[in-house]
Order: sequence, then structure tokens, then C-alpha cells
Amino acid sequence: MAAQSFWRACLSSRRHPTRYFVIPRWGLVMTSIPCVSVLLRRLHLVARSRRRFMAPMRWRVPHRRRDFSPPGLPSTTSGTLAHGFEWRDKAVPQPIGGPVPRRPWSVRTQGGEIISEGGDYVGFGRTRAPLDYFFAVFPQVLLS
Amino acid sequence: MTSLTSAKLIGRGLASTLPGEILKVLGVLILATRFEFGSRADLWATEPRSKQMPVPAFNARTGMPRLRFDALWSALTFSKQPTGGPAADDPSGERFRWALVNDFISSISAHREAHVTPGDTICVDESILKWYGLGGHWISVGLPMYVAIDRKPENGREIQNAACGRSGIILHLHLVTTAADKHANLSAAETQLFLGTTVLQRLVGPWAGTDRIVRADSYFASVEAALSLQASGLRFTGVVKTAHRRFPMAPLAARHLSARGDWVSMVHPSPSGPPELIAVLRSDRDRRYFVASAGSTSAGAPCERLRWRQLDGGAERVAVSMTQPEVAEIYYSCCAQIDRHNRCRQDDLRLAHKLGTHDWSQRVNLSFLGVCIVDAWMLHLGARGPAASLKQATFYEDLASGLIDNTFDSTGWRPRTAQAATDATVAPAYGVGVHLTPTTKRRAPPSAGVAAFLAQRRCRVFRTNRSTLVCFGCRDTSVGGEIFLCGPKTGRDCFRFHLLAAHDAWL
Repeated sequence: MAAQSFWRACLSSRRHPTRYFVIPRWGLVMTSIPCVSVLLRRLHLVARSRRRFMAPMRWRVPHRRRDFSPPGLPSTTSGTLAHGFEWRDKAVPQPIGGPVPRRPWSVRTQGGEIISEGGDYVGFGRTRAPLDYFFAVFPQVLLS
Repeated sequence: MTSLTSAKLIGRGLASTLPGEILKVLGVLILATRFEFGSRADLWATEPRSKQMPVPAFNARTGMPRLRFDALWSALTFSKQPTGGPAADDPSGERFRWALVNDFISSISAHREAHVTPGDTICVDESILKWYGLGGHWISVGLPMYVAIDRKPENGREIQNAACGRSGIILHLHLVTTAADKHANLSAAETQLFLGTTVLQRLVGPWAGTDRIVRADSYFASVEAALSLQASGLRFTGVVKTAHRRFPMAPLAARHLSARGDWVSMVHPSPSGPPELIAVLRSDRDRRYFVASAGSTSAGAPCERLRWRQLDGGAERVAVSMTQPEVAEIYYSCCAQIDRHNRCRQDDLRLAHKLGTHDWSQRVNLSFLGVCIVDAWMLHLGARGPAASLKQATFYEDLASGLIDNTFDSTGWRPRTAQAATDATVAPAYGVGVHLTPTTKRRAPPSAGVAAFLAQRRCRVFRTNRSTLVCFGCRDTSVGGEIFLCGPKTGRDCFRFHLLAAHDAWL
């Protein structure tokens, strides 16, 4: 009982508020005892200085780096290697492999008719019904 | 589907079914999504819950009694499961359970491969089919691979699919199975690749060598994926996040981009000299890394959106324009097609939400049926173009009506053409030409309301028995109205005589 009262008093104390630390291998540690919090703070800082604690990618601000050269990657005379794959700083003004021409899509029905973009009209003032579209996309072999 | 369902029905001592009746059930299912109801039985209620609400009365509306629908619903089978239980090399029974849905998926994929010609872009993405029942690899009942991801709208089963980048029609479906099953199905060469690359190759494999552009999200995108597709005659555009092996992530991340919409690029030259791949970093709300084997880094059409902005005079909608490279333009032009398809299926059609079931395979098959229905809507939208007069809800209502009143079981006859007479491979056509069809007339209702039964008249040829079937070719009122004839189930040849006399055709 005495121990529980002590911990309750610690957690609710305004003078010694609860502090949280992230320590490698221990995880999240909380304390409200001042001397322990000082120790944990040291551990936390030491871990950070040894780079054991890695901030998530979104916390890092790459453009604040003083040195803009790519870190940790070997540079060739004309470019950079990423896992042995060469990349060069260059803009590509023309589409690589040539431009891709626009192709119309189409669906062939079971009866051999072609439904294409803007191809709803079937002649004599008639258009296709929703059922025709369903039969065009539903595998009718399944119905047998 | 018909034979499997009939076998189940006969096993329960019920009458077997026909394809037309199966289609009618599908129509009733779509029609049910247009109503608000608590339990499915409410749809057959003949008294409205409130006098201000219309009564569903599905028996009168669809002509399908509730008992028959319940029997068909519980016996509806889309795929054949092998008899005798799981194989010896499948101790967990996962493959045995997947067999309940495999035939439907493979037939959809095979149908699209044979009948659909996609546009110049193919979109690849993931979808979730809703399921909150039993499942998981650790239990031998329920869904074999249960997926619960926080950022996904629903829990259930994950599928990966390819869709046409222009029309939005699904082209290929691929199941996400457990890791053990995935590894068992990989070849020796595929084990060296990223899993995303392997799945991507399977999804777009049927269109290899067509020089189309494949657009994929970060699950699939990598340098390896771009190179493997290039080797198989396809181009690639995607956003790289985690699979950044051989991608210049660090050099690009170190670049300073001053404003949103700015971009920098690097190229990977081919052995012969010209660039083979492009890596682009574009600054948007967050930084996006693109890898592409199509397009260029020159400025494409700017991205324009209307956004609310707080100005001096109050909040106003302002047109915000953002520059982007051509690579990003290609990516964003079709990247949302599968998400759009998913929204149509989950939020507009709502087949899985409205019709509850405790059978996981029924739910999954129903979701695939939803894929086909939404595909029909996409096809209609693309074929009709901007002049499409039907709204999505109206389209589904009309489709339900067409399926309920289908004439699939009545085979049509028409004079054979010279080519058809010589070509033995011509498939029979159903529901076309001169055929017997149920009359559109109904009996006079006993009191106010809709009559439940079709009208009957004496057969024009036999002149003794009554029939509800009429000749499809003689329904014009100017020629004397509908001509009632005995159906083929009676064993009489009334329709054959009528065909010879009135249409100069023969069976």
C-alpha cells in the first residue's frame, strides 16, 4: 500500500512531473523521480550521439545539410552509382523510346461486335442497353 | 455455374436451375441494392412498413418467390472445388479453400484477355474485398488470407488488379495469398526478383510486347520492375518508396527544391548511349520519386485544381496551377482508375454492404460479380462518352430490370448466312432473332396493385392449351398484336409451324 501511494503521489505531483524517454533496447521509459530522469536523459543523449536512435525519414531535413554531395555513394567521373547502377544528372527533353501514340480501347462482344470509345450507336437510331454491356464483360462461359 | 448450382439444388431435393434463372437471381441481387432493408425477407413483404414508403413486394416485381430465391442464393456456386478434401501437399488446406473462388477469377481474367483491347496505358493497383468474418492462415475455416490494414477502408481480402488506363475496365485479377503459398508458386528466376515485380509481370503479361505504358504504385514500382517490363516490351511509370534498390534515392534526396512543383532528374544511360530510365524527384505536398521508362522530363500540362483560399474579402475558390514533368503527367493521368472502380463498387453499387452472408466464398464471389457490373458501367460510360444520359444508379436499375426479364434460355432462330452455313465454329446466339419470349401483358389484378401473373391466351397453332409465351417477331400491334404459342417444354411443335408459316424460317 505504501509503495502504491508513493507512486501515485509521484505521478500526480506537479513538482516532479512524469518524463518519458526512448532508450534503445528498453523502449519507452517513464519516470517522475528527478535523479532517475537525469540518468535516463543522459542515456538517451548518449544513444543519440552513437546514432543508435534513428529519426523517422520524415523528420530528416536533407536540404539543411551543408554538404550537398551525395552521402555514402561512390561518384564516377560522369555520374553516381546506386548499387552498381549508373545514374547521371541530366534532363531528358524528348520522350525516351519515342512518343507513345494514343490507342483506342475496345471490347469484343460474344457475338463479334466491337464496342469502342463513343461506339454506343448500333444503327437505326438504337443504342445498346445496359444488359448488352453486362454480357460484353461477363464471362458467359461461366453460365454453362 | 448452372451445373454446380443445379447439383446442389438437386442434392437438397429441389428443382434444378437454368442459366436464365441464374441471371434473374443476379438481377434480383442488383435490384436489392437499390432498396433499404433490414433483413432480406423484408424485400418480399407485401405490406409497407410505413404508408409513406413503397412496398418492395419482390415476388410481384421480379416474379421470383422468396423460397426459390433463398434456395438459389444458398446454392449459388461460382467455382468447382475438388472433391475429396485438400491434397497431400496442401496440409493447411489453403489451395483447397481458394478453389471456391478460383474459377470465377480465372474466367474473368481469361475473358478480358480474349475480348478486351486496352488503350495506351495500363493501371496496376490493389483492392480490398470486404469481409469481417472468420479468416486467417492460422485457422482452417474462413477466408484463408485475411488482411486488416489501418489505412484501408475495409478489412477482408486483398487482390491486385490491372485495369485499362483509359476506360477503367478491369483486365486481370490476382489473388493475394499467404506468404507460404506465394513462395511455393514462385519459379527459381522469380525468387531473385522483388515480389512486386513478379506480380506486375503476371498482371500485365498478356499485353507484353505491345509497347503500352504500365502505371503502378509504390507496391510494384522499382528500377527492377521498369527494366523487366522493358525487356518484355512494355514501358513503365511508377512512384518509388521502399523498393529503392538501384534507384538514386540519396542523391535526389540531397537536392534542394525551392517551391512546390519543381523537379530534378537523373538518367540511366543504356549501353548504346541514349537514356534507358529516368529518375525524377518532384516536390509536391511531399517529395515524390518517379522511375520511368516512358515520357520525358520536359514540362507537361500543368495540374490545375480549384481550392478554397482565405482572401481579404473572405474565402473564395481559387484555381491553383502546379507545374509537373511529362513523366508525372503520364502517371497522374491514369493512376486513379482502379481507385475509381473500387469506389463505384463499394460506395455506389454496395453489393457487399447490402447482402449479408456468413460464407466467405459467397462474399468474395459477390464482390467479383460487382467488379463485372461496374465494368459494364465503365464500358457504357466510355462507349456513350460525355453524352451519357444514364446516371450510375439508373444504369444499375436498368441492368437489374434487363437481367430479371432476360430471355437467355430461349434460343433464337434466324436464317443462316452462306458464311455461317460453311463455318462450323460459329457460336450459337441466345436472345436474338425470332424466338419465344414471355408476354408483357399481365392478368387483371384482383384489387388495386400490380398483377402477379402473366396473361395467358390460347395457342394460335394448337388452339386448345393456353400459353404465356409469344413470338418475338410478331409483337408489332400493327400486324395484329402478340401471337401466343406453346413453349418447347410442352413437347408440341407449335413454334416450328409458326416459324415456317409466318417467317419462312425453320429450325
